[in-house]
Amino acid sequence: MNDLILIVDDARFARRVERKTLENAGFDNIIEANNAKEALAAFKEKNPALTILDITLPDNTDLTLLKQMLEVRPEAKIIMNSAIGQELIIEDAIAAGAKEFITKPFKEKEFIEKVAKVIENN
Amino acid sequence: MGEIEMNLFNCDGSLEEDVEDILYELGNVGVGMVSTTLGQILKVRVEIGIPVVTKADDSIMAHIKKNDTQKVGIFLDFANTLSGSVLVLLDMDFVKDVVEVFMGEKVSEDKLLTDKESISAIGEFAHVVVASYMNAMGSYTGIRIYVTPVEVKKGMTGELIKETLQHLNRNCSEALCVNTGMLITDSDGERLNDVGHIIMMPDDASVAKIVEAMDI
Repeated sequence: MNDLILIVDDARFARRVERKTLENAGFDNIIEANNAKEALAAFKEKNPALTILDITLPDNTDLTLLKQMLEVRPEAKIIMNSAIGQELIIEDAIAAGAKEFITKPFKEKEFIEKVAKVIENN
Repeated sequence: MGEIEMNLFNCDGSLEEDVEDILYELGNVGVGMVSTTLGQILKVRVEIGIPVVTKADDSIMAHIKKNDTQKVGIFLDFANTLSGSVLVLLDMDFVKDVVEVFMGEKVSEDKLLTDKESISAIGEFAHVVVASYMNAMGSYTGIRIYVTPVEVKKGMTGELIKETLQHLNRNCSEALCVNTGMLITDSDGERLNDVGHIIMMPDDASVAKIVEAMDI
């Protein structure tokens, strides 16, 4: 599948797991960023079809990056993927415009189902 | 922070009973949630110790099992809504098991903290563990709890605690400590082994905020 997916996570291991999961499901057009600054630049420049966004990054510890991305492109498809699965924070993220919230550690099937649903939902 | 004025200590210097009760309970539910997460990831039964609530000072050492050995220390701070630090101390053997489960392959001990993939796996594991604790705490208090990325180091228990306290003292005037141990059943299923501690150290203003959020 050709949809460009941007993975944003500071942990190399997490990026590897997410990439592998996506590739196993046939998504092979993937770019990565490991901090908020790089992520925002890639988001603006590459216009990904989907962004998978961690909350805790070296230069971002809340939903600021999500909001910045949605200011740039309010219609952007962004899935939060974080171990921080607090109900209030999930609600905040969805209210801010995230399409889904996947809590780590995730099950591959659930991850791909949510990715596919968000990508297909135009 | 600092808008909430609250006495955390009695006149004799001991911890105020309500404060101790609340932090004790948070330690319980936090590590309880961690044990569930660890059980799911590692397919082991994780038991939790009794939380020990103290001032965040050198006395922490006395409550660490096997404190004369090398451990992996995972450091992070609270961000945004609360202030303070968190230290996760894990036994080397346990970390090796965790990394092997995460990476799906055998890893030699000397590569545990030198190989980038291995370090990253430890960091990711630590983040999941700490997030479980914070998720339980967030759910209990209604406070949105964010944390910084983790830093992973190997060292003697005393060195790791000292470094955390120095960092904490640079950022907070006073902090409390909730120290909860974790144990897993060994491969024979006969004995419980200590595998680590989660040491949460909110500063005084954050403790006041937590106590107020618990509304007692």
